Amino acid sequence: MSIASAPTEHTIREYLTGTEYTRHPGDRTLLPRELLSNDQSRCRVLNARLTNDCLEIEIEGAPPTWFGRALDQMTRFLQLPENWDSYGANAIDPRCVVESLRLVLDIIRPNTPAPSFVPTRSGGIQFEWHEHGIDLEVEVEAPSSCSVYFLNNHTKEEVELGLSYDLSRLIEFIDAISPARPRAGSSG
Amino acid sequence: MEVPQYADDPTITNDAVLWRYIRPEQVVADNNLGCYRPSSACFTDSSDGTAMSVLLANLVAVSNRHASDLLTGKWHDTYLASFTAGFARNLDLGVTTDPPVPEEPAHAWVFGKKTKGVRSRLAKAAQWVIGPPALDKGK
Repeated sequence: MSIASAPTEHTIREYLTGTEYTRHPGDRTLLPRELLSNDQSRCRVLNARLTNDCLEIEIEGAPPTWFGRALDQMTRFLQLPENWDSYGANAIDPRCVVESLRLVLDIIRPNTPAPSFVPTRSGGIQFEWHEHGIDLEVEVEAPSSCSVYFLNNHTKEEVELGLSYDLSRLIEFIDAISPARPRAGSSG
Repeated sequence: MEVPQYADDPTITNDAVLWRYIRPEQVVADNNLGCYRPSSACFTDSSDGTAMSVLLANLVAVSNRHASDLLTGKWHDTYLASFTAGFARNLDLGVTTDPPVPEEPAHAWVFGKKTKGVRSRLAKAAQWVIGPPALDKGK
């Protein structure tokens, strides 16, 4: 299993608050190293508030190792101006950032590889995996609008669906990219 | 802006190479292909409703420019990825230079419905013309 390097201190315009985060002078936050556990099974977004230009995200539990890096990326995405791609893209909607973090923490398994996060032209966030012969992409187009693309390159099964409150299909897809953990005591 | 009515231009041959600007924020790791490549999010129509913009590589050459000459001004911090007109047509997309864009003589449009599957196929087929430093060897 590949493990992302532990995130270091990162600058964030929309600084984070909550029990897992400590704010430092100069709008810098530190993701405590001791919280970077591989067991993120209980990690979830508890609360998010957007006030003026400040985005506050409160999380519960130990985040996955790649979470700090994802926050760094989100910070940069939120700083992208209108038309950041020169093709007329919208500025990134902070609510899409929150929703994508909330969703990804809700669906991942402890052994799910790190996703890639990208900004989208509509001002949303897309996170995606290309692992184990599977392409899985989740796009948060708006705070209440998400869609999923799944392709199993081995079986050629291809699915495009809008995401509703029922996450069961998406969780099936997540299982497909999350390798089974070896049982305790197993050899080899 | 009124969205033009596009029609595929058969004078643009299937082996014509099309270049698309790629933002560094939209490069992803593909462990299936063993490379860094553009995300499918790169291959969308423009926000104003016009079709996806590309450059025709042969028209860039006609204007005595190289790929590196394109990454200046508002494109200075972007990359370039390519695919062929034939690949786009196989995805039920069309390619045309009409209507022309006065400020870019090599400009062309790739029009048609870009489902997530279509976008994903474009992203996985795209080849770096100028890619991220030290990342462009894998593909």
